[in-house]
Amino acid sequence: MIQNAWLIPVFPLIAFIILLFLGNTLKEKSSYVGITAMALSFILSVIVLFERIGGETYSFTVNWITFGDSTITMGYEVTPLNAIMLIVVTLVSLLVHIFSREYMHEDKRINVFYSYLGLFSFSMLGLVLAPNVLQLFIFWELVGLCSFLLVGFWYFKPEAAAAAKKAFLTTRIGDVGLLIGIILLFNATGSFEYAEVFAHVEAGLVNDTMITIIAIAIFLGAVGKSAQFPLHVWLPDAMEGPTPVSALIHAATMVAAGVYLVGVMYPLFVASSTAMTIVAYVGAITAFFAGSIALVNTDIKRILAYSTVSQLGFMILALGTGGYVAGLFHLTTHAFFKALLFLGAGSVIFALHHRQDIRKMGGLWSRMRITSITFMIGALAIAGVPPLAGFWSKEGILAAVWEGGDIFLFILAVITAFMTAFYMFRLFFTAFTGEFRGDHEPHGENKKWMTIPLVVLAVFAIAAGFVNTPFGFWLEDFLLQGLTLGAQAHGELWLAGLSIVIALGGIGLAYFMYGKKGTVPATDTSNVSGVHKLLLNKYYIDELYQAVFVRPTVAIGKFFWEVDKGVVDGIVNFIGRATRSSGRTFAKRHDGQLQTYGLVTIIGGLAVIALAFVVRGYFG
Amino acid sequence: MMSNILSVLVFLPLAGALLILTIPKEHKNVIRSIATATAIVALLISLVIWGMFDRGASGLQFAQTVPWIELFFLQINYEIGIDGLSMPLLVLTTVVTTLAIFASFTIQTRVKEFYVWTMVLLTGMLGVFVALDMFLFFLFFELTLIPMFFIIGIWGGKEKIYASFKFLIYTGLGSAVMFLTFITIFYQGFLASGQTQLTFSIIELAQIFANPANPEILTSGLRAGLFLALFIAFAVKLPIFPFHTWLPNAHVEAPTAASMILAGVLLKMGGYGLIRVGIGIFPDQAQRFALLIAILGLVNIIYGALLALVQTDLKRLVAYSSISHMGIVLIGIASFTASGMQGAIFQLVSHGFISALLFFMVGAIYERTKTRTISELGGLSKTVPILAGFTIAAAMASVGLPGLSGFVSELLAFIGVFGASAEILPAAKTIGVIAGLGIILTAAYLLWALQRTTFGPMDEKYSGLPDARPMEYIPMIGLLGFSILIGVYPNILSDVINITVIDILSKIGG
Repeated sequence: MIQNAWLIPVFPLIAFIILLFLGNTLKEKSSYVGITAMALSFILSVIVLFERIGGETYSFTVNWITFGDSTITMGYEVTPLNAIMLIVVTLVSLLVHIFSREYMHEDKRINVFYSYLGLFSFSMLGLVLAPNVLQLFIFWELVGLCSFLLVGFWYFKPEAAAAAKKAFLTTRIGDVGLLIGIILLFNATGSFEYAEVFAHVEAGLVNDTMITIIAIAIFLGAVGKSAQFPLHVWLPDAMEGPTPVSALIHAATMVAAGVYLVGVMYPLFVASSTAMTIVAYVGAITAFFAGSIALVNTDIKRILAYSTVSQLGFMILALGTGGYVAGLFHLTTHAFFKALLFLGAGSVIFALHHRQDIRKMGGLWSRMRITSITFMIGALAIAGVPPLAGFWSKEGILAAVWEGGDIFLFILAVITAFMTAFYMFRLFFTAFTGEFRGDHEPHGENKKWMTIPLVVLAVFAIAAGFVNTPFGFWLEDFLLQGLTLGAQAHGELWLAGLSIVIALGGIGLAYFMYGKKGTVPATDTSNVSGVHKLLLNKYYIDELYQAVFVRPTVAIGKFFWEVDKGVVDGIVNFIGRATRSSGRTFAKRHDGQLQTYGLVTIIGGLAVIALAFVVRGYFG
Repeated sequence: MMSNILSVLVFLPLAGALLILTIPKEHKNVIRSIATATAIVALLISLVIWGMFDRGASGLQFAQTVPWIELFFLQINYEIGIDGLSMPLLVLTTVVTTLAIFASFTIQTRVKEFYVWTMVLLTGMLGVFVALDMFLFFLFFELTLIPMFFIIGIWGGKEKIYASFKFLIYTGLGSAVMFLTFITIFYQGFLASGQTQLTFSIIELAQIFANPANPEILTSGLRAGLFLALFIAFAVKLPIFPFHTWLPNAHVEAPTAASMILAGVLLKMGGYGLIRVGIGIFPDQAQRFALLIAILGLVNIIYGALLALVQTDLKRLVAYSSISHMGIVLIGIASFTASGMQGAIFQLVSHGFISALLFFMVGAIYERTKTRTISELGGLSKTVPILAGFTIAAAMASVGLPGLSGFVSELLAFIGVFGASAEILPAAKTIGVIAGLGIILTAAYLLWALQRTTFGPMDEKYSGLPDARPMEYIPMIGLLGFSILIGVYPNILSDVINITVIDILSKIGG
């Protein structure tokens, strides 16, 4: 079956095409088309993974374009890394498809929604299966398109329209870096194929400066897509999209593509210590910075969004300090528990008639039991409480950072881990415990369409970490097949102890501040000061970008437009007026009569011949 | 028929025009049918030629030379033929024109004249792409001017008279420069050839200029001057800053169908002429000016994009986007690499489809809302979801989204620029990075436009507007379809272009 891996992205593509043409007829039934397609993709992905574990491998290419004597090919291949990604993407996508059937069923455009989900799943799976970095880029842009369409799904809300644009544009900035990076790579190695590129790099055929430049340029793409500082600004706004979309695209899959990119290009990054340092620092700063914003936010989705940014920073940090397996392991576990948290938030929002402010929640534990329990499991997992999935992967990251030897990075990572546990349980205690503080009593637990995906994801949030524990590094052995990376760092016992202390400490602090006394984050934030104000305003980065980039660009555009109208065109009009006064006699002849123009043409032709005679006379 | 197939293709629309002339003007539907049928037949013929085109052969195909005007020392031939450069443009011309005709059925006034001019225009455009004799080339080039002048001037918008005269005078001046340059080329070529007859053949002139019998005559200064003169002549058409100001007026005032042809095909004659005649006869000189060409390309990209960003009129925004996108052609050429050159040709073709689609969408929206002012639109996804969907697709194609043709041309041009040799194009990587900023700006102005037109709250006065009519699907699906086809499988195009590009580059320094 592994040679049929290409079908995995094709199923959702077919769903997209069917819904494009028949969606209006199918309406609510569109969900079944999407769910069926994703179920098929998931089953096939499981088979492919097992065959890959069994040692089977397959790749296929076809010529795509030829220029000069270069040929670019497209195709697909199954590697250990993408076999795992296939599972993550198809499983989360399938569950989101199921969840959305209930979540979106009141929306008249549910068929459009499912068609976009299909297009997204196709693109994301295509990205994962790509055997070369150009093909990855192609699908990379397509997932960006789907993100744009889905963030702007409720296009009639001005905030959604603005957020969609912001998401596309901000990631586009990184994408240009990525495009330039892979083009430089192509010019340096003559290929986009991973294997060939790495062979060139490892053989020392590309000079060190160029490797560093290429790696940094490629990393820009990851910074945009995985919402790393300073291009993180789009992801919190992207929460304007429907919540299942946030779970699928903006938590589990697309935003992780940046991490995945660094993962697949890892031999290149490893070849440049400068690039690795930059990667590590960007990751660490992002993790800390986004985590700190999450401490004070009160919108359930935005807290999760900043948490996602922070966790992606964690993964990037791991990759930058040599923790290849740790970073990708965290990508996998995070996909499950963050999708769980987002869908849980979706379940709450749905029950509360689309209210997202945690200060208006409270007491959901008794009203929505399944949602509450699964949400708590997700929160425990992300906080890093053993033996849940997040514990194992986060511990791997801390081990890699410690091994990396930069104590500053390690401290940032530890503080971030602490903040993570704190803000997640600040959210949990505020929203789920205490008294209900909203104005609309929730309608109780949601239907099975919504709760079953939560339960499935909760199981994975608990168990997904067991693939890579000190009792057996199965994932590590699998991922490192065919790679020549150094040994991966494994944490010692003290580190595990520290992880547990951090997690429990954060949870404990949240309990004393919000859980025990039932205190709610203040509604009136007008007189907060200092750091708190800075955090509430997200470090004023949006304002800064408006002032430094957006407004000046528009101003320059306006200035040039005046120049265009006044100077460039002014000269033309001046010449035109001068000519017209002399040409008024001729202008009268422009009367739309064919005959006149025939005559003019003939005269013109004669003039040409006459001129030819002049030329002859010239040298006659 | 097969040996004359190019001539049949070129003159078929002219025959269609003559046929229309015989129909009384009241029979609008008959006239429309004849025009449509003629265009479709031309399209089919061009596809037959596409199918028969030998992808593995270098040099000219379907060539035909008939002595035409022999006057004293003048030897003007009816010399036509195509290679990998003209082949795609030929198909582009028939496709865009046919689909533009479908978009023109809303025209109700002076229908007969409109289609006569459109048919003449089609012959002119096809002629430009097949002519290999400079005299013939010039005639066809001029033949496109007059119909477009009338189409803008008669069927245009509020400021049609100003726009049409500006178009005529501007491109006419370009033609004058071209004419004088051609004359000088003939004359100098004649002197240098040592022959007794004055040839007008582009191919022969290229050979003479490459290996003159009398090298003292063709000094490098003269050649450089002639190349620059040609460059300016074609710069007006492409258009290249600062010769671009006719374009926004002409595009905005022209009726939808004419905007489609203008942006879709006419601009391409500038790029085509630059490669065919400019680089064809003066390959070494062209390469010497690589940096200048690249800088002008950058100016086009950035300046066009910045101006598009601040436009308040949707159609004018699309017009400035054309200026920006034609900059890609220039930087592709300036790299003097196989991929860059191919990227330039890809961009000519790709932009032809995409800009025609954009203009069609703007026209369809205007027809319904009676406004093109961006701030007065909004929420089109609600009122006219299908039109809005195609508008988003067209904008994405223009942004250079992979899977659509614009991406491939940008990719090729960028590979070319970043891979250009330092002797030919100094600071190539800086140029590439600045062009990259242009990509971001392109996304900025198009996405911002989408945010304010297709997205956002709907103005109540637009509720109940009719969505796409069956007849409108033809141009929309056709143009988007070609863009997707090239975007998904660019080999279909590079297959035809590659050998010609290698030929063009092999002439340099040889």
